[in-house]
Amino acid sequence: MKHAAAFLFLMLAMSFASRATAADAKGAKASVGKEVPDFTLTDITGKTHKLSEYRGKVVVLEWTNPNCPFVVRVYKDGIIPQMQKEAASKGIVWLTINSTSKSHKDFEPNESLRETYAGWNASHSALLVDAEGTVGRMFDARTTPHMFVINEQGTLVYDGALDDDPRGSKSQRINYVINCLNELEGGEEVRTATTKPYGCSVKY
Amino acid sequence: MKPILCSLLLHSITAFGMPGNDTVQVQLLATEAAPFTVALKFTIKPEWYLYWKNPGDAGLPIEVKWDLPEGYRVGELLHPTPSKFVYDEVIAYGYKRELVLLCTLTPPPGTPRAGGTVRANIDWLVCKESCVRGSATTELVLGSGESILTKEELDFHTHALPVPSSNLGVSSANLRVESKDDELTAVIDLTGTPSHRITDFYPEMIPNFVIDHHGITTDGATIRIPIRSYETSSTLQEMRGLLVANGIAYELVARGSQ
Repeated sequence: MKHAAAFLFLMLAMSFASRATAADAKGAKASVGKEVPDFTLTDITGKTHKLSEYRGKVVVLEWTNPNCPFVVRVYKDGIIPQMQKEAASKGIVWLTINSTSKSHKDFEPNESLRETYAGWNASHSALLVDAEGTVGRMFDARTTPHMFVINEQGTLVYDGALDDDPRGSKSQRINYVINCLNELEGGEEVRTATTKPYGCSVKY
Repeated sequence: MKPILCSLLLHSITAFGMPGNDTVQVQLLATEAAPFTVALKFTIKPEWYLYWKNPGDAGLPIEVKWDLPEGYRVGELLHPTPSKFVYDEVIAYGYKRELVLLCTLTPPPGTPRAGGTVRANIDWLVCKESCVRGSATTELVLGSGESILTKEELDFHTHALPVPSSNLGVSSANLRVESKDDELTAVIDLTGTPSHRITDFYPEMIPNFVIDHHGITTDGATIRIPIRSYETSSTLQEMRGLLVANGIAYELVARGSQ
Protein backbone atom coordinates (compact mmCIF):
# COMPACT_ATOMS: atom_id res chain seq x y z
CA MET A 1 0.00 0.00 0.00
CA LYS A 2 2.76 2.33 1.00
CA HIS A 3 4.54 1.50 -2.21
CA ALA A 4 1.41 2.13 -4.23
CA ALA A 5 0.96 5.55 -2.61
CA ALA A 6 4.59 6.44 -3.25
CA PHE A 7 4.22 5.32 -6.84
CA LEU A 8 1.07 7.39 -7.26
CA PHE A 9 2.83 10.42 -5.79
CA LEU A 10 5.73 9.91 -8.17
CA MET A 11 3.36 9.69 -11.13
CA LEU A 12 1.59 12.90 -10.07
CA ALA A 13 4.88 14.68 -9.53
CA MET A 14 6.05 13.59 -12.97
CA SER A 15 2.86 14.72 -14.65
CA PHE A 16 3.08 18.13 -12.95
CA ALA A 17 6.71 18.45 -13.93
CA SER A 18 6.01 17.70 -17.57
CA ARG A 19 3.05 20.07 -17.61
CA ALA A 20 5.18 22.87 -16.20
CA THR A 21 7.77 22.33 -18.93
CA ALA A 22 5.15 22.40 -21.66
CA ALA A 23 3.60 25.58 -20.22
CA ASP A 24 7.02 27.25 -20.09
CA ALA A 25 7.79 26.34 -23.67
CA LYS A 26 4.42 27.63 -24.81
CA GLY A 27 4.73 30.82 -22.76
CA ALA A 28 8.11 31.59 -24.28
CA LYS A 29 6.80 32.28 -27.79
CA ALA A 30 6.83 35.79 -29.19
CA SER A 31 3.76 36.87 -31.14
CA VAL A 32 2.47 40.13 -32.59
CA GLY A 33 0.48 42.22 -30.13
CA LYS A 34 1.94 40.45 -27.09
CA GLU A 35 4.77 41.34 -24.74
CA VAL A 36 8.01 39.74 -25.91
CA PRO A 37 9.49 37.23 -23.43
CA ASP A 38 12.90 38.33 -22.18
CA PHE A 39 16.04 36.73 -23.58
CA THR A 40 19.79 37.03 -23.17
CA LEU A 41 22.39 36.50 -25.90
CA THR A 42 26.10 37.18 -26.27
CA ASP A 43 27.40 39.28 -29.14
CA ILE A 44 30.46 38.55 -31.30
CA THR A 45 32.68 40.61 -28.99
CA GLY A 46 31.60 38.57 -25.95
CA LYS A 47 29.28 41.22 -24.48
CA THR A 48 25.96 40.07 -23.05
CA HIS A 49 22.69 41.67 -24.16
CA LYS A 50 19.40 41.29 -22.33
CA LEU A 51 16.30 42.43 -24.19
CA SER A 52 14.71 43.95 -21.07
CA GLU A 53 17.69 46.31 -20.73
CA TYR A 54 16.40 48.07 -23.84
CA ARG A 55 12.90 48.66 -22.45
CA GLY A 56 11.87 52.23 -23.31
CA LYS A 57 13.54 52.01 -26.72
CA VAL A 58 12.31 50.65 -30.01
CA VAL A 59 14.20 47.44 -30.90
CA VAL A 60 14.63 45.96 -34.37
CA LEU A 61 15.61 42.28 -34.65
CA GLU A 62 17.13 41.11 -37.91
CA TRP A 63 17.79 37.40 -38.51
CA THR A 64 20.91 36.91 -40.57
CA ASN A 65 23.24 34.41 -42.25
CA PRO A 66 26.10 35.94 -44.26
CA ASN A 67 26.10 32.92 -46.60
CA CYS A 68 22.50 33.46 -47.69
CA PRO A 69 22.22 35.25 -51.08
CA PHE A 70 19.21 37.29 -49.91
CA VAL A 71 21.20 38.64 -46.96
CA VAL A 72 24.18 39.39 -49.20
CA ARG A 73 21.92 41.33 -51.57
CA VAL A 74 20.18 43.49 -48.95
CA TYR A 75 23.59 44.45 -47.53
CA LYS A 76 25.41 44.94 -50.83
CA ASP A 77 22.51 46.99 -52.24
CA GLY A 78 22.93 49.18 -49.16
CA ILE A 79 19.34 48.66 -47.98
CA ILE A 80 20.06 47.34 -44.49
CA PRO A 81 23.21 49.48 -43.85
CA GLN A 82 21.19 52.62 -44.67
CA MET A 83 18.32 51.52 -42.40
CA GLN A 84 20.75 50.74 -39.57
CA LYS A 85 22.35 54.16 -39.89
CA GLU A 86 19.00 55.94 -39.73
CA ALA A 87 17.83 53.75 -36.86
CA ALA A 88 20.97 54.57 -34.87
CA SER A 89 20.46 58.30 -35.42
CA LYS A 90 16.96 57.98 -33.95
CA GLY A 91 18.07 56.00 -30.90
CA ILE A 92 16.55 52.75 -32.18
CA VAL A 93 18.34 49.57 -31.04
CA TRP A 94 19.18 47.23 -33.92
CA LEU A 95 20.07 43.65 -32.99
CA THR A 96 21.27 41.39 -35.79
CA ILE A 97 20.90 37.74 -34.77
CA ASN A 98 22.65 34.72 -36.31
CA SER A 99 20.88 31.45 -35.40
CA THR A 100 23.00 29.30 -37.74
CA SER A 101 23.87 26.05 -35.98
CA LYS A 102 27.53 25.20 -35.38
CA SER A 103 26.99 21.98 -37.30
CA HIS A 104 25.79 23.74 -40.47
CA LYS A 105 28.21 24.58 -43.25
CA ASP A 106 26.98 28.22 -43.22
CA PHE A 107 28.23 28.66 -39.63
CA GLU A 108 30.90 31.36 -39.26
CA PRO A 109 33.05 32.04 -36.20
CA ASN A 110 32.83 35.45 -34.52
CA GLU A 111 35.92 36.96 -36.09
CA SER A 112 34.80 36.05 -39.58
CA LEU A 113 31.32 37.49 -38.88
CA ARG A 114 32.88 40.72 -37.65
CA GLU A 115 34.96 41.09 -40.82
CA THR A 116 32.09 40.26 -43.18
CA TYR A 117 29.62 42.70 -41.65
CA ALA A 118 32.26 45.44 -41.27
CA GLY A 119 33.01 44.95 -44.98
CA TRP A 120 29.31 45.48 -45.69
CA ASN A 121 29.27 48.75 -43.67
CA ALA A 122 26.85 47.29 -41.15
CA SER A 123 26.10 49.54 -38.18
CA HIS A 124 23.85 47.40 -35.99
CA SER A 125 23.90 47.95 -32.22
CA ALA A 126 25.14 44.34 -31.83
CA LEU A 127 25.54 41.10 -33.76
CA LEU A 128 24.22 38.36 -31.48
CA VAL A 129 25.12 34.68 -31.62
CA ASP A 130 22.24 32.23 -31.18
CA ALA A 131 23.90 29.02 -32.40
CA GLU A 132 21.54 26.93 -30.23
CA GLY A 133 18.59 28.53 -32.02
CA THR A 134 16.76 29.21 -28.73
CA VAL A 135 15.83 32.81 -29.50
CA GLY A 136 15.20 32.03 -33.19
CA ARG A 137 12.66 29.39 -32.19
CA MET A 138 11.12 31.72 -29.59
CA PHE A 139 10.35 34.16 -32.41
CA ASP A 140 9.68 31.40 -34.94
CA ALA A 141 12.26 33.08 -37.19
CA ARG A 142 11.90 31.26 -40.51
CA THR A 143 14.15 33.03 -42.98
CA THR A 144 17.15 35.26 -43.41
CA PRO A 145 16.40 38.10 -43.45
CA HIS A 146 13.33 37.79 -41.13
CA MET A 147 12.56 41.06 -39.35
CA PHE A 148 10.83 41.89 -36.05
CA VAL A 149 10.08 45.22 -34.37
CA ILE A 150 9.47 45.64 -30.64
CA ASN A 151 7.97 48.92 -29.38
CA GLU A 152 9.07 50.97 -26.36
CA GLN A 153 6.68 49.04 -24.12
CA GLY A 154 8.24 45.70 -25.09
CA THR A 155 5.37 44.56 -27.32
CA LEU A 156 6.03 42.83 -30.64
CA VAL A 157 4.53 45.10 -33.32
CA TYR A 158 5.99 43.66 -36.54
CA ASP A 159 6.89 40.15 -37.74
CA GLY A 160 7.79 39.53 -41.37
CA ALA A 161 9.72 40.50 -44.48
CA LEU A 162 12.07 43.43 -44.87
CA ASP A 163 10.18 44.64 -47.94
CA ASP A 164 7.96 43.47 -50.78
CA ASP A 165 10.87 42.79 -53.14
CA PRO A 166 12.37 39.31 -52.58
CA ARG A 167 14.23 39.36 -55.92
CA GLY A 168 15.59 42.87 -55.49
CA SER A 169 14.25 43.79 -58.91
CA LYS A 170 11.59 46.42 -58.14
CA SER A 171 12.20 50.11 -58.75
CA GLN A 172 9.54 51.05 -56.17
CA ARG A 173 9.38 48.91 -53.09
CA ILE A 174 7.43 48.95 -49.86
CA ASN A 175 9.80 48.66 -46.92
CA TYR A 176 7.58 47.23 -44.16
CA VAL A 177 10.14 47.83 -41.40
CA ILE A 178 10.67 51.50 -42.29
CA ASN A 179 6.89 51.97 -42.47
CA CYS A 180 6.50 50.36 -39.06
CA LEU A 181 9.27 52.50 -37.51
CA ASN A 182 7.74 55.66 -39.00
CA GLU A 183 4.32 54.74 -37.61
CA LEU A 184 5.82 54.16 -34.15
CA GLU A 185 7.62 57.50 -34.34
CA GLY A 186 4.40 59.27 -35.35
CA GLY A 187 2.45 57.59 -32.55
CA GLU A 188 0.25 55.80 -35.08
CA GLU A 189 -0.97 52.25 -35.09
CA VAL A 190 1.19 49.83 -37.10
CA ARG A 191 -0.93 49.08 -40.16
CA THR A 192 0.92 46.07 -41.55
CA ALA A 193 1.96 44.03 -38.53
CA THR A 194 2.58 40.67 -40.25
CA THR A 195 3.97 39.73 -43.66
CA LYS A 196 5.40 36.60 -45.23
CA PRO A 197 9.17 36.67 -44.67
CA TYR A 198 11.34 35.77 -47.64
CA GLY A 199 14.82 34.38 -47.99
CA CYS A 200 16.80 31.28 -47.09
CA SER A 201 15.53 29.11 -44.27
CA VAL A 202 17.22 29.70 -40.90
CA LYS A 203 19.92 27.04 -40.57
CA TYR A 204 18.99 25.70 -37.12
CA MET B 1 34.28 26.87 -84.83
CA LYS B 2 31.81 24.04 -85.04
CA PRO B 3 28.23 25.09 -85.91
CA ILE B 4 26.74 23.10 -83.01
CA LEU B 5 28.66 25.23 -80.53
CA CYS B 6 27.41 28.45 -82.16
CA SER B 7 23.88 27.19 -81.92
CA LEU B 8 24.23 26.32 -78.23
CA LEU B 9 25.68 29.70 -77.44
CA LEU B 10 22.88 31.42 -79.27
CA HIS B 11 20.11 29.49 -77.61
CA SER B 12 21.13 29.48 -74.02
CA ILE B 13 22.78 32.65 -72.89
CA THR B 14 23.29 32.21 -69.20
CA ALA B 15 24.42 34.83 -66.76
CA PHE B 16 27.85 33.44 -65.99
CA GLY B 17 29.20 33.88 -62.54
CA MET B 18 25.97 33.17 -60.64
CA PRO B 19 26.61 30.09 -58.51
CA GLY B 20 23.07 28.79 -59.15
CA ASN B 21 23.99 28.33 -62.81
CA ASP B 22 26.39 25.48 -62.05
CA THR B 23 23.55 23.64 -60.38
CA VAL B 24 20.73 24.13 -62.88
CA GLN B 25 20.69 23.87 -66.70
CA VAL B 26 17.74 25.25 -68.66
CA GLN B 27 16.52 24.33 -72.12
CA LEU B 28 13.65 25.87 -74.09
CA LEU B 29 11.65 23.58 -76.39
CA ALA B 30 8.53 24.18 -78.50
CA THR B 31 5.99 22.14 -80.43
CA GLU B 32 6.25 22.30 -84.22
CA ALA B 33 3.09 24.22 -85.13
CA ALA B 34 0.80 26.93 -83.72
CA PRO B 35 -0.68 27.25 -81.15
CA PHE B 36 2.68 26.44 -79.66
CA THR B 37 3.34 24.74 -76.38
CA VAL B 38 6.72 25.70 -75.04
CA ALA B 39 8.55 23.76 -72.36
CA LEU B 40 11.20 25.07 -70.01
CA LYS B 41 13.25 22.06 -69.02
CA PHE B 42 15.39 22.44 -65.88
CA THR B 43 18.04 19.82 -65.18
CA ILE B 44 18.99 20.03 -61.50
CA LYS B 45 22.11 18.61 -59.84
CA PRO B 46 21.38 15.65 -57.54
CA GLU B 47 20.13 16.61 -54.03
CA TRP B 48 19.36 20.22 -55.02
CA TYR B 49 15.81 21.45 -55.54
CA LEU B 50 13.90 24.23 -57.27
CA TYR B 51 10.67 25.65 -55.87
CA TRP B 52 6.98 25.33 -56.76
CA LYS B 53 4.84 28.47 -57.19
CA ASN B 54 4.35 28.42 -53.43
CA PRO B 55 7.88 27.75 -52.15
CA GLY B 56 6.61 27.06 -48.61
CA ASP B 57 8.08 28.68 -45.50
CA ALA B 58 11.22 30.01 -47.22
CA GLY B 59 12.65 29.98 -50.75
CA LEU B 60 11.48 31.65 -53.93
CA PRO B 61 9.36 30.57 -56.90
CA ILE B 62 10.89 30.48 -60.38
CA GLU B 63 10.27 33.68 -62.32
CA VAL B 64 9.93 33.65 -66.10
CA LYS B 65 9.69 36.82 -68.17
CA TRP B 66 8.93 36.32 -71.87
CA ASP B 67 9.99 38.36 -74.90
CA LEU B 68 7.54 37.32 -77.59
CA PRO B 69 6.99 38.04 -81.27
CA GLU B 70 4.53 40.90 -81.95
CA GLY B 71 0.92 40.11 -81.00
CA TYR B 72 1.59 36.74 -79.32
CA ARG B 73 -0.38 35.84 -76.20
CA VAL B 74 1.19 33.79 -73.41
CA GLY B 75 -0.82 31.39 -71.27
CA GLU B 76 -0.37 30.51 -67.61
CA LEU B 77 2.90 28.81 -66.63
CA LEU B 78 1.86 25.26 -65.76
CA HIS B 79 3.72 23.59 -62.88
CA PRO B 80 3.83 19.80 -62.44
CA THR B 81 2.89 18.32 -59.08
CA PRO B 82 5.63 19.28 -56.60
CA SER B 83 7.12 17.20 -53.81
CA LYS B 84 6.73 18.30 -50.22
CA PHE B 85 10.06 18.43 -48.36
CA VAL B 86 9.63 18.46 -44.60
CA TYR B 87 12.58 19.59 -42.53
CA ASP B 88 12.56 20.19 -38.78
CA GLU B 89 11.55 23.82 -38.92
CA VAL B 90 10.64 24.33 -42.55
CA ILE B 91 8.30 22.97 -45.19
CA ALA B 92 9.28 23.44 -48.83
CA TYR B 93 7.41 22.51 -52.03
CA GLY B 94 9.63 21.85 -55.00
CA TYR B 95 11.35 19.61 -57.49
CA LYS B 96 14.53 17.55 -57.60
CA ARG B 97 16.48 16.25 -60.63
CA GLU B 98 14.24 17.55 -63.42
CA LEU B 99 11.43 20.07 -63.79
CA VAL B 100 9.45 20.88 -66.92
CA LEU B 101 7.19 23.96 -66.95
CA LEU B 102 4.72 24.19 -69.82
CA CYS B 103 3.14 27.24 -71.38
CA THR B 104 0.98 27.98 -74.44
CA LEU B 105 1.93 30.68 -76.95
CA THR B 106 -0.84 31.78 -79.29
CA PRO B 107 -0.01 33.75 -82.43
CA PRO B 108 -2.26 36.68 -83.33
CA PRO B 109 -5.28 35.67 -85.46
CA GLY B 110 -4.64 35.73 -89.17
CA THR B 111 -0.88 35.22 -88.88
CA PRO B 112 -0.03 33.66 -92.25
CA ARG B 113 3.02 31.75 -91.07
CA ALA B 114 3.79 31.41 -87.41
CA GLY B 115 7.36 32.08 -86.40
CA GLY B 116 9.59 34.58 -84.71
CA THR B 117 11.96 34.47 -81.78
CA VAL B 118 10.79 33.63 -78.28
CA ARG B 119 13.05 34.52 -75.43
CA ALA B 120 12.63 33.40 -71.80
CA ASN B 121 14.40 35.33 -69.06
CA ILE B 122 14.46 33.02 -66.07
CA ASP B 123 15.39 33.68 -62.45
CA TRP B 124 15.55 30.97 -59.77
CA LEU B 125 16.70 30.01 -56.33
CA VAL B 126 18.11 26.51 -55.92
CA CYS B 127 18.71 24.94 -52.51
CA LYS B 128 20.29 21.98 -50.82
CA GLU B 129 21.82 22.66 -47.41
CA SER B 130 22.26 26.26 -48.54
CA CYS B 131 20.66 28.28 -51.32
CA VAL B 132 22.07 29.99 -54.39
CA ARG B 133 20.49 32.26 -56.98
CA GLY B 134 20.71 31.60 -60.70
CA SER B 135 19.42 33.12 -63.92
CA ALA B 136 19.45 32.41 -67.62
CA THR B 137 18.15 33.74 -70.90
CA THR B 138 17.24 31.14 -73.44
CA GLU B 139 15.61 31.54 -76.86
CA LEU B 140 14.38 29.72 -79.93
CA VAL B 141 12.80 30.49 -83.30
CA LEU B 142 9.25 29.13 -83.42
CA GLY B 143 8.47 26.81 -86.32
CA SER B 144 12.12 26.63 -87.33
CA GLY B 145 12.42 22.92 -86.69
CA GLU B 146 14.95 23.47 -83.91
CA SER B 147 14.50 22.43 -80.26
CA ILE B 148 11.34 20.48 -80.98
CA LEU B 149 9.06 19.35 -78.17
CA THR B 150 7.73 16.08 -79.59
CA LYS B 151 4.17 14.89 -79.07
CA GLU B 152 5.44 12.03 -76.89
CA GLU B 153 7.39 14.44 -74.69
CA LEU B 154 4.43 16.82 -74.45
CA ASP B 155 2.13 13.95 -73.43
CA PHE B 156 4.64 12.78 -70.84
CA HIS B 157 4.99 16.24 -69.26
CA THR B 158 1.26 16.93 -69.46
CA HIS B 159 0.73 13.77 -67.41
CA ALA B 160 2.85 15.23 -64.62
CA LEU B 161 0.45 18.19 -64.21
CA PRO B 162 -2.21 18.16 -61.48
CA VAL B 163 -5.70 17.16 -62.64
CA PRO B 164 -9.08 18.83 -61.84
CA SER B 165 -10.53 17.97 -58.44
CA SER B 166 -13.75 16.85 -60.14
CA ASN B 167 -11.73 13.79 -61.24
CA LEU B 168 -11.45 12.87 -57.57
CA GLY B 169 -15.18 13.26 -57.03
CA VAL B 170 -14.98 16.61 -55.22
CA SER B 171 -17.87 18.70 -56.53
CA SER B 172 -17.36 21.96 -54.64
CA ALA B 173 -15.18 23.64 -52.04
CA ASN B 174 -16.37 26.34 -49.71
CA LEU B 175 -13.95 28.65 -47.94
CA ARG B 176 -14.53 30.25 -44.55
CA VAL B 177 -12.29 31.81 -41.90
CA GLU B 178 -12.48 30.86 -38.24
CA SER B 179 -11.17 33.22 -35.60
CA LYS B 180 -10.38 31.96 -32.12
CA ASP B 181 -8.17 33.62 -29.46
CA ASP B 182 -6.63 35.96 -32.06
CA GLU B 183 -5.72 32.96 -34.23
CA LEU B 184 -7.10 32.62 -37.74
CA THR B 185 -7.78 29.38 -39.60
CA ALA B 186 -8.87 29.12 -43.21
CA VAL B 187 -11.31 26.23 -43.42
CA ILE B 188 -12.21 24.55 -46.70
CA ASP B 189 -15.34 22.37 -46.61
CA LEU B 190 -15.42 19.87 -49.46
CA THR B 191 -18.58 18.38 -50.90
CA GLY B 192 -18.82 15.25 -52.98
CA THR B 193 -17.66 11.69 -52.56
CA PRO B 194 -13.90 11.47 -53.11
CA SER B 195 -12.82 8.20 -54.70
CA HIS B 196 -9.66 8.20 -52.58
CA ARG B 197 -8.88 9.48 -49.11
CA ILE B 198 -7.52 13.05 -49.15
CA THR B 199 -4.33 13.07 -47.12
CA ASP B 200 -2.80 16.49 -47.67
CA PHE B 201 -3.28 19.94 -49.17
CA TYR B 202 -0.55 22.02 -50.81
CA PRO B 203 -1.81 25.63 -50.76
CA GLU B 204 -0.84 28.26 -53.28
CA MET B 205 0.33 31.53 -51.75
CA ILE B 206 -2.45 33.92 -50.67
CA PRO B 207 -1.86 37.64 -51.10
CA ASN B 208 -1.69 39.48 -47.75
CA PHE B 209 -1.68 36.32 -45.63
CA VAL B 210 1.04 34.13 -44.12
CA ILE B 211 0.34 30.39 -44.17
CA ASP B 212 1.54 28.09 -41.38
CA HIS B 213 2.35 25.11 -43.60
CA HIS B 214 3.20 22.88 -40.62
CA GLY B 215 -0.27 23.37 -39.21
CA ILE B 216 -2.28 22.19 -42.24
CA THR B 217 -4.58 19.29 -41.35
CA THR B 218 -7.35 17.36 -43.08
CA ASP B 219 -9.87 14.70 -42.10
CA GLY B 220 -10.74 14.07 -45.75
CA ALA B 221 -13.84 16.30 -45.81
CA THR B 222 -12.43 19.50 -44.34
CA ILE B 223 -9.04 21.16 -44.68
CA ARG B 224 -7.79 23.47 -41.94
CA ILE B 225 -5.01 25.97 -42.73
CA PRO B 226 -3.69 28.25 -39.96
CA ILE B 227 -3.07 31.73 -41.37
CA ARG B 228 -2.04 35.21 -40.22
CA SER B 229 -3.18 38.38 -41.96
CA TYR B 230 -0.96 41.29 -43.01
CA GLU B 231 -3.52 43.84 -41.82
CA THR B 232 -6.63 43.58 -39.69
CA SER B 233 -8.64 44.64 -42.75
CA SER B 234 -7.23 41.87 -45.00
CA THR B 235 -9.96 39.63 -46.39
CA LEU B 236 -9.75 36.14 -47.80
CA GLN B 237 -12.11 35.33 -50.65
CA GLU B 238 -10.34 32.59 -52.53
CA MET B 239 -7.77 29.87 -51.97
CA ARG B 240 -6.14 27.64 -54.54
CA GLY B 241 -4.07 24.58 -54.03
CA LEU B 242 -3.60 20.88 -54.59
CA LEU B 243 -5.54 18.11 -52.89
CA VAL B 244 -3.33 15.06 -52.46
CA ALA B 245 -5.03 11.68 -52.61
CA ASN B 246 -3.50 8.29 -53.41
CA GLY B 247 -0.28 9.98 -54.56
CA ILE B 248 -2.04 12.16 -57.15
CA ALA B 249 -2.54 15.94 -56.95
CA TYR B 250 -5.89 17.51 -57.80
CA GLU B 251 -6.31 21.22 -58.45
CA LEU B 252 -8.73 22.92 -56.08
CA VAL B 253 -10.25 26.39 -56.02
CA ALA B 254 -12.16 27.23 -52.85
CA ARG B 255 -14.25 30.39 -52.60
CA GLY B 256 -15.99 32.16 -49.77
CA SER B 257 -19.77 32.09 -49.69
CA GLN B 258 -20.28 35.82 -49.06
